[in-house]
Amino acid sequence: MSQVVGRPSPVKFCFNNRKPLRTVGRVVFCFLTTVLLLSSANAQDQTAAVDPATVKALVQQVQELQAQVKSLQSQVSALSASNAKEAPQTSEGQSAAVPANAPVAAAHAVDMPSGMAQMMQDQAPSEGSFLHSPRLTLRGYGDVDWNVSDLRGSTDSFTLGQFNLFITSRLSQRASFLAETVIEADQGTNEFGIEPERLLLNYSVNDHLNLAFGRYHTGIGYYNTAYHHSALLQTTLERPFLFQFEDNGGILPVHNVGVSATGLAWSKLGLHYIAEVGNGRSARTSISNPVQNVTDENNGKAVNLGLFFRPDAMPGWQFGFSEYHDHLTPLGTPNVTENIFSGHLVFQNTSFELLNEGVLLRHTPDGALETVNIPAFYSQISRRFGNYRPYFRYEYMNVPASDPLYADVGLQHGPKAGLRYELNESAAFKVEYGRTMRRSLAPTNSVGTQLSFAF
Amino acid sequence: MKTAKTVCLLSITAFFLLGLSAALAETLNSFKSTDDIAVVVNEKNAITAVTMSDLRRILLGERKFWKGNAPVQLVLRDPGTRERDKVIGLSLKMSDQEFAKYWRTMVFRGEASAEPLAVPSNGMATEYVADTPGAITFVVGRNLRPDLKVLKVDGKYPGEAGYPLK
Repeated sequence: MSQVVGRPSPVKFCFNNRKPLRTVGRVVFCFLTTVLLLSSANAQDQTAAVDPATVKALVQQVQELQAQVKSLQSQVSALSASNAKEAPQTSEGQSAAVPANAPVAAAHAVDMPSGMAQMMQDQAPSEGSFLHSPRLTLRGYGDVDWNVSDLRGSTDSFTLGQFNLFITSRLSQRASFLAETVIEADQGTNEFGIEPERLLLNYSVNDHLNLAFGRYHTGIGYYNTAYHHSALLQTTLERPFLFQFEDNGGILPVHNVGVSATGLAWSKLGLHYIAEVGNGRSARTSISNPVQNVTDENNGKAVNLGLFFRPDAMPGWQFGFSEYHDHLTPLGTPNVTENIFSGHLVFQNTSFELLNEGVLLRHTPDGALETVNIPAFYSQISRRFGNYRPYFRYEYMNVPASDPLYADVGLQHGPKAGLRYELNESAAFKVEYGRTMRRSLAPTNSVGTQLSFAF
Repeated sequence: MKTAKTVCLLSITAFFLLGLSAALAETLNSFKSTDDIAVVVNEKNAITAVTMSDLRRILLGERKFWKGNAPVQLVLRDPGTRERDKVIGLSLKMSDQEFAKYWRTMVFRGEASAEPLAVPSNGMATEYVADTPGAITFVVGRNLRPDLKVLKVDGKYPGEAGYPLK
């Protein structure tokens, strides 16, 4: 049963009962007259004492307030009109906001403190205000690290991590903009470079279709779309080998430029889908930047399709799989067909975290009889005890020497164990030990610390 | 004869309307007399009931649209208020800090464009819901306004035994 509690309208009451209206009117008239006479007399008594400059200032203030009221009224009218467009369907199947209701809504809004009305309009811009007042929010993330390793030739160093400027702007109730721009020093040259890591215009049609246009993190597995470029938001010091960024030796197409569609496919099961079309990743030899921001090295587009479940009956769990397909065109060698199959099983709540992901990259050079398989996985577990969160991760990635693209990466596997301490809501300190085994090389041990923060 | 019939019909209608009004007033009073936290939406919203699972998805930003495709606009009280703490605690089993962190992450992932609107008073929350067709908020029964629609949660109204947002 719907519980629409009818508004006990005093207006209706008065129109239906003329006599009480007159009585009430007389009483109000007498009261107002009395108040006016009293205040007038009081004002006359004080007139002599009032400074003309004060009067002038007061008049000016009144004029300013009148202008503000007019401005607010026009904003409220615009808001009411736009809300009428967005009204949920009524039980009769009609558009909900009836014009007759608008003045009531406007009256309520005008009754609000002006700061309140302004604040609400600022935070929830309507479709009507789309062109006029998108509000930009800027957040920042950064980290400072110190690392030491027994790898021959390495030195212990303080490291400036990524200086991340994260910008969002809610353009309307359905459209928004997101940009993640990272300033980062090159490990080889110590020179700073700047790169827009994500740059997206998002448009939500409904719960079943959300579109994103621009440069995004490819929906391969879980980690890549759950953790982006902020060290603060990830539990550990660094991303797993598997999901390292392209310019840091990673083998996956972590970034892509194109169009992404995501949404809820079946709400009962919490089934979501991902469908992406983009330029894909370059073959590392034809174009210097592996992310093809402007020019694709071929006409074939990278396609990524995925499904994942977040069942209501299992809060915190997510599992799913995806398949990515692209053609790469290395210089001087045959073209390569790349297929990436991934699967993940994740549990996360406020205290416990279990991340498991596996990926199989398959590279098939044109004309070759064999396909090269690159298996990789990681498993990460952590639990929070107050402000402390100890964690452990084991990761594995094996690129065969016969791989046409990433043979230099080779085999890497090993554990990482660390402790994260939350300094406050915006800062964390981490200390981590890692041991990495490689093919034909001695194992390396490393210790790192990181102070990550948001501002 | 015709006049008598009309009078009879009008009397029955008036009686019915009177009864309906009394029932509605009684219902409102019963809501007002409870400290349970009511889930309220704009009276133009066609929805009449939600489940705790629905509420969870709305609070987590996973459900962004109502059935008629209007965007859900979640309005909460400021951190530290009873309504906010209760709703977040009972629905999500989270503290307010965890809830804030969750939403920061949602925005960073690009899964939400902004964190939920937070206002300092029940009056502001209800005012916003009354004026915004897609809005939803949570208020203690005694702060209910007559022009808002109270939703059943898991088949129960505030004040009824077994109501989940007590």
